[in-house]
Amino acid sequence: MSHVQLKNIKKTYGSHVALKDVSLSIDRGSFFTLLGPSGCGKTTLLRAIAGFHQQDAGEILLEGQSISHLGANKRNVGMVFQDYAVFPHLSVFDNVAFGLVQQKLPVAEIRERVAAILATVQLDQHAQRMPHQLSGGQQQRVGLARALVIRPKVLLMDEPLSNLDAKLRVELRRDIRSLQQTLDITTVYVTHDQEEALSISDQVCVMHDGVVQQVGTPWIVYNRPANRFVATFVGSNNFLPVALEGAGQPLVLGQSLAVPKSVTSQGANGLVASIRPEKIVVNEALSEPGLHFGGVVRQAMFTGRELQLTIEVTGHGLIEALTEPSAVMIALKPGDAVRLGVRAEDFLFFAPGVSGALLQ
Amino acid sequence: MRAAELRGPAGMRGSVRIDFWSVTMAVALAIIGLVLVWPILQVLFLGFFDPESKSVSFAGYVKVLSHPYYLGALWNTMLVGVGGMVGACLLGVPLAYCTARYVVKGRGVITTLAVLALVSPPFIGAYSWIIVLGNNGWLTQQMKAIGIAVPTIYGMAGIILVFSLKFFPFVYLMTESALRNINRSFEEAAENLGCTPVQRFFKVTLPLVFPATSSGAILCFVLSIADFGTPSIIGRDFRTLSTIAYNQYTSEMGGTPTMAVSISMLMIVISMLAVMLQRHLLGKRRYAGSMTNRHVQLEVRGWASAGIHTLCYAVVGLATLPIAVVIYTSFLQTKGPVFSGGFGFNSYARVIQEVPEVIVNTFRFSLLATLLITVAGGLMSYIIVRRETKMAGFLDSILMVPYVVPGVVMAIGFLLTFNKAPLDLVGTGSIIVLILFIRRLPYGVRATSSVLRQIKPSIEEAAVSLGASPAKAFFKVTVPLMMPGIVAGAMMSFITAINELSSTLLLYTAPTTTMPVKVYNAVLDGEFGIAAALSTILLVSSGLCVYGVLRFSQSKEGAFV
Ligand SMILES: Nc1ncnc2c1ncn2[C@@H]1O[C@H](COP(=O)(O)OP(=O)(O)OP(=O)(O)O)[C@@H](O)[C@H]1O
Ligand SMILES: [Mg+2]
Repeated sequence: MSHVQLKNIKKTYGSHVALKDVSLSIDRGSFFTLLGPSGCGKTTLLRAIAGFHQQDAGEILLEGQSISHLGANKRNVGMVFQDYAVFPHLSVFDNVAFGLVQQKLPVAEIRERVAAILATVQLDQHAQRMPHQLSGGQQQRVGLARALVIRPKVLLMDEPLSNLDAKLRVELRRDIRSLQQTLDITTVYVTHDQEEALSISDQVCVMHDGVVQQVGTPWIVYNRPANRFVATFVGSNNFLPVALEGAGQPLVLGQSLAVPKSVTSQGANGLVASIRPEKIVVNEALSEPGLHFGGVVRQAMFTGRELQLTIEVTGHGLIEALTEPSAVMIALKPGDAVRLGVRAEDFLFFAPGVSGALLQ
Repeated sequence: MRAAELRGPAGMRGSVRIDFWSVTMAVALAIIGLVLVWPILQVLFLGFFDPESKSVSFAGYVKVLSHPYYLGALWNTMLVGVGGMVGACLLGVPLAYCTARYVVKGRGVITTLAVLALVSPPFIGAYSWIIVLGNNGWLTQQMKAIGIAVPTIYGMAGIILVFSLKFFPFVYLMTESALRNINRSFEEAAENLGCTPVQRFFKVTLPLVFPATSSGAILCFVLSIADFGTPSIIGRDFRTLSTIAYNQYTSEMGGTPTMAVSISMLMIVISMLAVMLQRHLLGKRRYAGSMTNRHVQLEVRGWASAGIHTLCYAVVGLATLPIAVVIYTSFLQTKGPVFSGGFGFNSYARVIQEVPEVIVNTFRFSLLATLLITVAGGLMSYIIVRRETKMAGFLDSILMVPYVVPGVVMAIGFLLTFNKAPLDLVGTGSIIVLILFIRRLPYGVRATSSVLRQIKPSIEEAAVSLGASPAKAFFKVTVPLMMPGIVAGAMMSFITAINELSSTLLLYTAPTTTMPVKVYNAVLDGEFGIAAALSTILLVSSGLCVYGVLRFSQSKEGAFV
């Protein structure tokens, strides 16, 4: 059942359109992530849900009720901020208790609930500290506890981890996800880190220029990107032009390829095929139907978990491949000749244009 | 007010609705319209009014711009304005360079003395220098005894001397902080590219501190041409626009003060032109300080060190000499108005017996004005910083006006505006409180808004998302965080309020006399003992507030400029 519903949200700043007709439906208890490049309108959308600014047009429904007319203090949505926004003049305890005091709850209950949530975010030792005595990660835990303790209907988070270092980011992201699952709280999360989005979410919503490009599970968004923008933004990808022979037989890298009907029926020029770097096999034969082609290594980069190869395909420019960093592979140097193979079913095809749709 | 009734997230909704901040905005504009815009418009319009034919005329302005008497005063005003500004730069910039770039012992003392010179009553400089270098001055007598004739202190030279020593701390404090914030890499790069240290200073360092130094310099210029006490005490026959505006107004009393308002408009125009010129010169030259490569102060030894220390202490020593003179004089034994030799508390006794009410008046008016400034300034700075509406921008610009309107002019505007029912305030304490309020409001707004800009808006949004109304979020979260800035701003307002002379001199009546007015009149009457005792009381009060500001403000000296 959809818990939060956005209907045709529009928002402009002066002449700049930040959100163009955004409609979304977010399930109860799901972890919903807004993913997109800087300036695509993620924060704008999140703040419209929080009530910090009013959308120009459209409707926001929470549990089926419109909340568009409610002030931010009446919506009962929790918010976690990118810069923590922990009140510097209040102790950890008072920060977390702030929303409960606002609700005029009995002191005993406030104590109990604050203690419980602080234990959950592992800050029970630090209840009496002042914010400046905490590390960044601890401050963000306070922010999280403070938003959760009021038992909001929806939890909103705007890049809560972007001010933390890489290791802490991964750690806290696990904590957030498991907390969200335990509390079963509907969460809208903003990030421009695609790995974070894929790893943490039930549903990912990819945005570009104020327009929703695709909503789907992480697997779908990665493996069945709705259009070329999503295919480019989520993970890395090689794009290869598709040529059509006289008879309408498509050619990729100069070789003919069995493709879905919808592709050939497009007929026009400008079709594009994509292949993920990790789907390319290097110096190995394919057991299934596909393409084989030759190339020359131009650059080899070892990242620890894998080996990134930049290969010039004879007569067709550069493509990227990812392989296991085995001893044989590590020995590859710029200038070495390699044989590459791609299974036919690993190719995806897109209509012409930078945001051409996926052809099924 | 009931916070629960105040609704709607502040500044976050497009639609106009009646919430706490809209009401505040309306009240703010109404107050500014009544006590700032309306009085100034009165001055402007009256200048176009011919009292004889009772019709519109340009005669007043034409006369001001053609008659030698007024042109002379205009010329004199420009001379002391530019002279004061140049003098302040000549003292302030080298001092700033020394303390920013070299290890100077007692830097805290130097800064404190500079700040004290800045906040001391503006007119004590003039009469202290008369006591030292006047016709019967202490130093004049000494020199005469050994056969050296001291050049006269009266007239232009004295005025420029007093202005330079009084206003240089603006240039010093602004330039010093700019010098500290220049990334050292710029200067190292210049040196690396072949500049000698002198070339480097003129080609890189000076251009980089120009925005700060020129802001300080323009402030010196505007304050110099607006100052009334100094030229009227030490100027003798040397008339400036502010002294003739005052004289014209008092002599036109009862009639239509056409000439006084014409002169007033001229002064406003000059100040505005100066500010605009500086903005134009500044253009887009704003350099964000990046603190990656901070300067370290060079340790120097021997003659160089002695030279630097002498320069620093000579400048602040001269600037605070009037303070020492005043305090010293206040403890001299007097008999009637004459000093009878030896020390004693006679002057203070006379103050307590003869004019205790001026002390009470000063503190009462100033405290009330400070209270108004603090409340109104806090709310207005919030509107300016956090609400990006056209009205907020307008409020911000209109608050620039008191900076360029000299006190004498503002007072004339008040006398023209608040002289009939239902707002017949002439002669009351209220009119003095109101003028202190409006003259110092911009400083209060600036003090609080600089603190507010450092508080992230998300702090308040967090409170709102936890269920606090916008007004409640402001009072529960933002106000406590702003408190140090508010307190420092209030103390600054108080210092300037107790020392105000140029506007109150036209507005006071016997029962509403304030300390600076009494000091001014006492000096004219030759009652130096009483003047010194009252000035000392003002100085000590100001000094205590300076201590408070330094305690409460994060940016220390920055709070004073
Ligand atoms: N207050 C504002 N006034 C004018 N334009 C704005 C304002 N806030 C945002 N914008 C513009 O609206 C667009 C969307 O901004 P938004 O902050 O939602 O982006 P974002 O997706 O959150 O980006 P980021 O990942 O950088 O945080 C941007 O082009 C931005 O420049
Ligand atoms: Mg954002």
